[in-house]
Amino acid sequence: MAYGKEWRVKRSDGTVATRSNTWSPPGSHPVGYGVKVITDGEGMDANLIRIEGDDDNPITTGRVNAMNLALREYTYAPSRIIHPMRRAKEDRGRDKWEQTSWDEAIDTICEKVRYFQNTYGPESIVCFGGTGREACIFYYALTFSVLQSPNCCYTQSGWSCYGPRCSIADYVLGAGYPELDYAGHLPGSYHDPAYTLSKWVVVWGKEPLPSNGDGFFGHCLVDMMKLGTKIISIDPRITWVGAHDGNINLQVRPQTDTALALGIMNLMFENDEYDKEFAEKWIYGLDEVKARAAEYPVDKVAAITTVPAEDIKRAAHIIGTERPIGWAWGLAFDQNKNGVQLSQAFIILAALSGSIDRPGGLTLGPPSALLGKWRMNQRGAMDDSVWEKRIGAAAWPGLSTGMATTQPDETLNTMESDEPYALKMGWFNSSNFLTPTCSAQPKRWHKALQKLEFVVIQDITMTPTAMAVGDYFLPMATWAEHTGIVLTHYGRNTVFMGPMNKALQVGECVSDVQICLLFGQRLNPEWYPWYKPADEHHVDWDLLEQATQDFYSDQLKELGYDWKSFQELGIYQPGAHGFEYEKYEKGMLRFDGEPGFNTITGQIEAYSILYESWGEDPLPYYEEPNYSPYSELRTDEEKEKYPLITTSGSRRYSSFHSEHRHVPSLRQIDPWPWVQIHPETAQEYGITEGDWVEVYNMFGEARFKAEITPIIKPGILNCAHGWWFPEQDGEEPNLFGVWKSNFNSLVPHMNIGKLGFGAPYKGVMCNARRVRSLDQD
Amino acid sequence: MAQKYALLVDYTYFSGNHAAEIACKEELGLPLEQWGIKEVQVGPFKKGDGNDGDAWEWFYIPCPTSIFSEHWGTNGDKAGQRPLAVQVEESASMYYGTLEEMQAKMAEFDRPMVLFQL
Repeated sequence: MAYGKEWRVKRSDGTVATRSNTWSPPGSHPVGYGVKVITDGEGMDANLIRIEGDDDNPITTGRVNAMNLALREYTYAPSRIIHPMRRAKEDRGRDKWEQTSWDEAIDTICEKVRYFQNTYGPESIVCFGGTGREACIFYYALTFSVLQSPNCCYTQSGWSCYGPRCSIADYVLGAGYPELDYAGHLPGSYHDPAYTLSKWVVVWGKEPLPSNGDGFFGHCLVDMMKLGTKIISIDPRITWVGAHDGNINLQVRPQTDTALALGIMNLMFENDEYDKEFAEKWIYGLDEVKARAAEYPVDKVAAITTVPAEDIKRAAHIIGTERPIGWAWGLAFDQNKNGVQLSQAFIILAALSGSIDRPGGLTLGPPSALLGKWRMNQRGAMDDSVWEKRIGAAAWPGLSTGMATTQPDETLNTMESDEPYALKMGWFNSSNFLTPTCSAQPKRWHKALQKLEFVVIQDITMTPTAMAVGDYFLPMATWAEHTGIVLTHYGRNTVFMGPMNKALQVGECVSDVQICLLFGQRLNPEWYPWYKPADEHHVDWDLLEQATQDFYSDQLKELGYDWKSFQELGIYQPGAHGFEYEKYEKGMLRFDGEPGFNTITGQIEAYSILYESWGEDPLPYYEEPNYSPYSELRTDEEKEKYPLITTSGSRRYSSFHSEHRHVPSLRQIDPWPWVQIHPETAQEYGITEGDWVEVYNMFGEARFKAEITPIIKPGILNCAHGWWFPEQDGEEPNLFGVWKSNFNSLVPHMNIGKLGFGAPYKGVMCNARRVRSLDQD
Repeated sequence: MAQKYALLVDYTYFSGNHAAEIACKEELGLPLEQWGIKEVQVGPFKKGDGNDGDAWEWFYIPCPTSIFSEHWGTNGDKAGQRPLAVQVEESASMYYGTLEEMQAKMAEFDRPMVLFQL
C-alpha cells in the first residue's frame, strides 16, 4: 500500500522534492511529520530550499511544525559544525578547536578506546545520551556493542523522562507504552471502521501540542476536539486545550497528582462507577487497591491538591461512566519522586474506565520491537562479568530491570568518588546536559566531567557541554541529510513507521547509525558486518551509505520489506498489517501465547508483585514532596525562606529543550527565558511584566523574564528550561551563559523514589526577587 | 471585476503554533523582521465563574499582512495557489481560496470564524 507516488520527484521548475518523515537532529520526538524536502538538485551538491508538508501522510496530513519548517536556517547556521574537530585536553573550555579528518579522528579515537578498555576495563568508558532523539536508539548500541561498556547513561536525575512510564507499564501492565488511541495506526484515521472516537480524553501532566511527546502527534487532540471529543485537563496551569468550551480543568498543586489519582479512584469505587466486568477479570489486587483508595476521601484530596471537591467528583463520574475514555499521560509522571505510584494509579484508572487496548482508549504495544528490540539486543555483545559492573544496577533493581542504562544519580556519585571504579572516557551522543534539560545540579556534573581523560562529542553545533569538556567533535547530519527510519515511541508502541530519505549532504556530517557502523567496524566487526571498507583507515563514503541501507534492510526483514521497498511503501501502519485491539483476550501480549497481560500474575497488577519484591509498597500511595513548603521534613525557617513552589519543563513551539536557541526565526518567537507568575504573586513581589526575576532556593538560582498570567495559581511559578545564549562568549567560565538561567540548579541531586525513578523537576520550593537584568542585580 | 481571494480562520481551534509564520518567511524568502502571517493572541483571561473551559477566553488569529495579500490576493503572483502556511499550519484551521469559496466554507461552520479578504 504505497502512496501511489514516487518518493522523489523532479518538478517542472527544476527543483527536486524528496518525500520523507522527520525525526532528528535537530531535536524532536519521533513524530515523523510527513514532509517533502525541496532541494535545487540531487546528490552531493544539492542545496536545501525549504520544507513542505506531505498531504498524503494520514496522520499529519501536510502539517509541519515551526522547528522543522526552520530547517534551512538550522542547516546553514553559521555556527554549525560540518567537519570533525579536535582540541588538546589542556585547552578544554577554550575555543581552540581545529579541523581534522574523519580518518584521523577514527584512528585516534579507536586507539584511545582500546587503551581504556585494556588498561581500566571497558566499564571505564561511559556514554551519555540525550533525550527524545534518534540517538535514543543508537546510543545504547554505541555503548554496548561498539564500545562494549555497560555504562550507558541518561543523566537526568531519577531517569525522569519516559523511561519511568515505560518501566511501570512493563511491571504493572505487562505491555509496551500505552498511548492515547488517536487512530494513528489505522489507514482510515478517525473514520476507519475499527475506530471509535474518544468521548473524553484525560490529558494529564502533558501539553502535547508543542511537545509531541514520545512521537504522539499532539495536534491530533485538536482534530479530536473538532470531531466532538471533550477534555479533562489535569495540570498546574490552565492550558490552551483546557480553555475550550465544555472542557474541565483540574488545576492541581505541582507534585500532588498521585493524591488526585487515588481520590478519583476512590470515588469510582464508592459510587460503583467503573467497568466491573473488566476489573474483576483482569485486575490483580482489586480488593486491596479498593481499601487503599478508601484512605483518600475527596475532601482530604481536595485539601492536598487544591482542586475543588466538586470538580474532582465531576471528573470521577465522567471517567466512571462515559465511554470511551482516552488517556494522555505526560512528563509530570516521571518528574516526581512519587511518580512510580502515579503511573501505577494511572494504569489502574485506565483499567477501571475500560480503556485498555480498546478503540478510543489506550493502545498497547510490545515492550520493545523492531529497532527498539535491536538496540536492547546489543547487550549481548558483553560478557556477564562486564554487564554486572553497570553503575547502580545492583542497588536499584527497580530501575535496572526496566532500563538497560546506569542509574543516573549513581553515575554522578561514581564520577565524584571514583567508587566502585573510576570512569576515564566519555562519549556524548547528542547530549548537551549541562544546559538545563537532562541533569540536576549541573555544576556538580561540570566539575565531575573534567576528570574524564578523553571525551568525544557528537553534535551539530558548539554547545556549552562540548565547549566545556570535548576533545573530539564529530558532526551530525540532520534528518534530511541521512537515511533512516522513524518509529513512534522508540518501538514500545509503534503507531506507525516511515522512511527518512536522504535529500542532501552537508559537509562531512554523518548519522547516528553511521557512527555505529564506522566505529563498530573497527572496534567490534563481528557485531557490525554491514560496512567493510577495503582500507579500514580510509572512509569509503559510498560504501558507508550502502551499508546504512543494508542495515535497515536487515531491520525490516521481519516485516517483509527491505530498504528500497520500504521507501516505496512510504508509511507502515500496523492497522494495515494485522493490528488488533484487546490483545490480552487473544493471547497476543504474553510470550507464552496465553490470554492476559505479560506480568507475573497475567493480570494488571494493582497490587504489584515486583514492587513488593524490591521493597516498595505494592499499592499506590501519596507522599508529600520533600522540598515543598508543606512538607514535615522542612523547617519553619526553610518554609519562610522559600514560600513559593516552581514547576518547570513545559514546552513551547520555538525549541526542543536546549536546541534551536541559535536559529533566528525561532529565537524571535521566545527570545528570553521566561517565568510565569500569577498577577497577585507578581504584585506581592513587586514584579511587573517583562521584569527580570531571579528564582532561587537552597540548591541554586536562575534568572528569567516575568510573564504575568492568570493561568497559574498564586504562589506557583512555572520556569523555562533548556536555556543558554549561543550569542554570548562560549569560553569558560561563561560557557555561552549556561549558568545564568539554569533551572536545574534548583533541583536536588538524588531526591528520588525507592525504585530509583523520579526527581522533583516539576515542583520544588523557592523564592523570587526582581533583578535589573540577566547579569545585574 | 477581478477575482477576489480570501483567508478563512477557524479561530476556536487555531492553536498559535507559529508554523504559518515560519512557512511564509520560507516560501517568500522574507527577512527576519518581516512577516507574511503574524499571529496575534487574545487572552488568556477569566470571563466566568468556576474553572471549566467555558470560564476562560484564550485564542490566536493568524493575520495576513499586506505582503501576504500582494502575493495571494487579486492579481498576485501566487493567487489561487495554496500558501505553504495554509498547508503546514498544525491545527488545520486555516483555509484559502476565492472569496466565494471561503464564504461558502464559512457557512459550513456553526461557530465564530474570521474571514480575511486579501
